[in-house]
Formats: sequence, structure tokens, C-alpha cells
Amino acid sequence: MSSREPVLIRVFKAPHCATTLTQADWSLLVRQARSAHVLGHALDTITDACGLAVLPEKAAAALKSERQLAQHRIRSTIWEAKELARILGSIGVQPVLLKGGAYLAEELPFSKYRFFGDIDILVPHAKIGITEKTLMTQGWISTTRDTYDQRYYRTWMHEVPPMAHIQRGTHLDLHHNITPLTSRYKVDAKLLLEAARPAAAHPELKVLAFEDMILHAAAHLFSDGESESAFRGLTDLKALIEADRISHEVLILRAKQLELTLPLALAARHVAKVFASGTAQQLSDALHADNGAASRIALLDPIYDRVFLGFHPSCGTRGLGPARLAVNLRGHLLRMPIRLLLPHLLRKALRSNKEGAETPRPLK
Amino acid sequence: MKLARLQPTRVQERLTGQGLILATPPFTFKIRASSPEVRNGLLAAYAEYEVLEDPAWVDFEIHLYPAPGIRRWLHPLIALSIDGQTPFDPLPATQAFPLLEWAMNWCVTSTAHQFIMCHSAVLAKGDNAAILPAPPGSGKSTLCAALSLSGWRLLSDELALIETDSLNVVPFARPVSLKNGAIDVIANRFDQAVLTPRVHDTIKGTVSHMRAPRDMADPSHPARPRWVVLPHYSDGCEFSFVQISKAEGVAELARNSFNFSAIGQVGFESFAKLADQVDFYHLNYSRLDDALEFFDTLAAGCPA
Repeated sequence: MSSREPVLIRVFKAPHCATTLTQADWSLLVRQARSAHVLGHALDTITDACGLAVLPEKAAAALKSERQLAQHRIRSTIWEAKELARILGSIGVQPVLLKGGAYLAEELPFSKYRFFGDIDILVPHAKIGITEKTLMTQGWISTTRDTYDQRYYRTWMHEVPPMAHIQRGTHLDLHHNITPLTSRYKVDAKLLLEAARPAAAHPELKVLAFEDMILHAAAHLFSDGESESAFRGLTDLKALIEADRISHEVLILRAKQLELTLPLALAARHVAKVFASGTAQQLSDALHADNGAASRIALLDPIYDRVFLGFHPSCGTRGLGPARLAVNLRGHLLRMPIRLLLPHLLRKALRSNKEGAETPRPLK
Repeated sequence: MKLARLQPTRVQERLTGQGLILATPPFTFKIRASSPEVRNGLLAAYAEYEVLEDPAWVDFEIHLYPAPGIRRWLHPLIALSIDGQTPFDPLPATQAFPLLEWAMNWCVTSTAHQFIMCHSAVLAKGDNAAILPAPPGSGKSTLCAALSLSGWRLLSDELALIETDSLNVVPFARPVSLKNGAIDVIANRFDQAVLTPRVHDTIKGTVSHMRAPRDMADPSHPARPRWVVLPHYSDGCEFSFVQISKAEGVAELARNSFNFSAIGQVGFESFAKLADQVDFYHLNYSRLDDALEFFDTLAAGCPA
């Protein structure tokens, strides 16, 4: 396996191996990392271990590109988050930052280069109405006017329809939970909100408790149905699990309480498998000892093994198409019971391909 | 080895096999395609470019392939993937070469944020560069093609790659994209212009690409921006030009930039510093001769 293992995975496993890479390896590494949406993270991991001088000229240019993007992204995200905290503070709501925004507010090293398209915040369900109205008075508007979409989000999902700022164009997802109302994973959002705390680097911003951050990332990765950014999700979990900020006992207990043991076990198993992570392996073993049912998750290996390697054509994963389809289907089934899912998917299928890929066009 | 030195059958073998590695400094593309339109377009437009042997540094791997589905028998479409990503909808198979060109531009504009990038042509006399930012329809490409055949060095037809620290423009000389009436204007006036076969009914109308003149000694030699000229072609209009303020000029650069809002402060500071070393002009013209003369006057006032 080792010689055929994708170079991107080799450098995440053992960043020091970068000193032995050929030019062709480097070139492939940059392309694999770019397709997996972890270019900055991968190059940063390497330079942390081996110094900047190890980068060939073109890899150094790629890192500069990622750095210039990251500087602006960090600055504008933190600014927007503080602005949201200020606006909602006026009605006594303290929004809790989720995902990418929260990682930045904590200054978690892996988050520096992590691209994300929107800011996600969590507020109490009872405050959703007033929060949405208050945001609207400050220029945040709903991005969809389609009545079906509006109903879909409001009746079944864990968030209101996505919002965007009318002038700055920033996208905002306003959540009242981290899993859909109709989801198989039933998380009690009150527990999340009670445990939320000030962010390490920006105490005026709130984030989830560290164990809840891990559980949210795991629940998202293993129920989302998206394979496009699956590898990036797994690198997030690797970093979160290896950050060593909480004991495995606390994490496992919390997973039980939030009914997220299954996604946590999947996360530990695949981080351990893909990155040969000792910490993740220990967590995985502890979960197995604790919960016999967790061994069922091995049945999903044929699907996830392929999906996590599917970030670049050079990884040559056979059966990738069916595996992606299976992940997508699994995501749908976890999100909604079949009696709701079938009419929903039928409706989406009949609604022509209006939102297809970008139409090819010349520059501008 | 130059593409022109490679037998067309060898070119075909590479395109349908492991891929043709084409160096268009500062980026290298590996291209795989079975379509004859792609091969013919490449042979016409990139004859003077280096083809590299594996293993070489490849920045982007582009694969063009017939789009699946029953439509392929009636109305064949061509699809394109870039390192496994498919950012574009398929196009009619006849448009394969323009699709490849647009995809090559997209590869750079969506990833090369080490530069502040501007949608513009860039030409140089000696080391002094003129940046021509302009929206489509302003005659930028026509003017760019004419200048590149009249003693100006082509750095780019579509995209100024400006280094954020030195503020130099890094050349990325590729074929010049000519549209509709401009194709005949250039073909009739310049015997030496080499054009790819015309492709009709694209999103931009009829398109043909002009081979970049490659007479410059060092294609990777950067140039220092000295002028920013905003061209505006209008049929029958009086020739005129006017110098505009630096503030207005920076706003024009920002408006035409691909990544000004993505890199924020670095981009703003680069444009602001650039404004200190360039003069900004609006240029209105209907006759190419007037415009060419204007550029030569600029260059004469500022010996390289």
C-alpha cells in the first residue's frame, strides 16, 4: 500500500517525508491538496515540520496564494462574527459560532487556511424569530424566495433558509440545532447552548464546548451526504481529535448524552485508518470497549474508504461513483424519514437543472 | 521540444494517452483530449510553445471528454474536468478549443492569489508595461493583437498577473482571443497573424485565437507597469484621450480585478502603490492607427 498511497496522505501522516519528495511528487501533491480543499493546510503542515526552505518554488507560490487569501478571510470573518454578536447582543441573544468561524475564533492552527463559504451561528430555537427579524433590519436577507424552499427549511431543517448581507454579500446560516428536526440523530440543542463558552482567542465571541465541536464535526461529516469536501472534513477531525484538549472519557460520555456515539466512532475509526493516528485509534478502541454496537460501523468501510480517497483522479479509486452515491443516499436517509424524503427528492428532481454547474464563459 | 517540431500524430498520441504537457510560463498544463478541434487549435495557437516530457511539474491537469448521455449521438457535447473537478457545464463539441482556453484562464484566476490579478491585456516596450483593463466589448483584444504585431511585447491578452511586492507584471503570454468583426480586422491588416479555425455561435459569438508572437528574447522577463489605459472602441467616434485621476484609476483596476475582494488589504495596497508609478488614461478610438500612434507616443515619452 505504502508506495501507492497518495502523496497528500503521506505528508499528513509524516510531514518530514516532504524532504524526500521529487518534483513530480510535489506537483502532484499541490494538485491533490487543491482538489481536496486542503492546499494551505497541507503546505503549512509541511513547513511547520521542515521549514520554508523545503518548498520548491511553485509550492512556495501556492503557499503565498493561500496565505494572502487566508489573511483576508480571517480578518473579515472575525469582523463579521463580532458584528453579529453586537447586533444580536442588543436583543439579548448571544450567537454561538459553529464550524469554520468557531475554529478561527479559537485560533486552532489547522483553521488558518481552511476555506469556508459562509458563517454559521447557533441561537436558541425560541429566539429564531426575533433573531431573524433583527438581522433583517441590519441588511441580512433571505437568499431564497421560493415558497417550497422556505417551507423545507422552516419545517424540517435545523436552520432557517440561508441569509446573505445585502451589501457585503457575506453568507450566513442561522441554526437552532446542529442536526435537522427530522434527523435520525436527535441532538438536544439546549445542552449545546448551556455548555457554550467564550472563544479562546476572542472572548467576546461564543463557541461550542470543545467536545461538542468534535461531535458536531463528526455528525456533519458522517450525515451530510456530501463527498466533495469529505477529505477536508476528515483532516478537520484529525486535528480536533489530536489537539488533546479533552479526555476521551469526557468525549465518549458527551457523545452518549447527545446521541452522537455513532458518528464519533466513525470519525475515530477513519481518522485512525487514513492517517494512522494513534490518538484516534485509542479513541476508537475506547468506543468499541464501551459500546458493542459500534462494531457495526465497519460495515460502512467499503463506502467511506473510497470516498475519503476520492479527492483526485490520481488516487485511482475503483468503485468511487457508487460509493459517493451511497454516501449521498445515506445522508438523505439520516436527514429525513422515507415518507418525507421521497416526495422531497421527487420535487427537486422535477424542478429542472436550473442550479447546474457554472456555465462556461470567457473571463468576466 | 517545441510543439511545432512534434509530428501531429505524436501530438494526437499524447493527447489521447498520458497527456500533452504544455508549458505556458509561468504555468504548465497537462491536457488530455480526443477531440480533433483541440489538437488543431493547439497546433495553430501554441506551435512555438515548449512541450515537456514526463515527469514534469504540472500545475493543472485538464481532461476534455465527450459528455455522456443520449444527446451525444444527435448533438455531441464536450465536458471538461480540471484535476477531477468539473466547474463548467458541457458545451457543443465544436467549441472544444475555446472551452479549453477559457478553462486555462479559469485555472489561473481561481488559484493564483499570490498575484493581484486584473482582467486586462498587458503589453510592454522594453521594460515599461501598459495595462489595458476593460470589460468585454471595449476592443481590448483587438488593440492587444494589433499592438503585439506592431512592436509591443505581449505579456497577456486577458489577465495581468501583478506581483504584490514588486508590482511587476509577470508575463503569461497565450493566444489572443478575437471575436466577431475583430477577426477580419486583424487578419486583413497583418499578414503575419496566425489564427485558429473560427468557431461560431459561442457565448461570445464567433471566436478565433491568434498565436502569440514569440519574438521576445525572454518570455519570462517581467515588466514594470508605467501606464494604465482604459480603451473604448466605438464605431465612427472621434479619437480622444484624457488623463484621469489616480483615485479613479485605482477604482477602475479594482473593478476589473478577479481577486481584489478575496485578498483584501494586500490587493488595495498593491493598487495604491501601483498608482504612484503609473499614469491613467481613458482612450476613445474608432481607427486602429490612431490608437497605435497613441501608444507609441506614450512609449516615446518614456524611453526604456
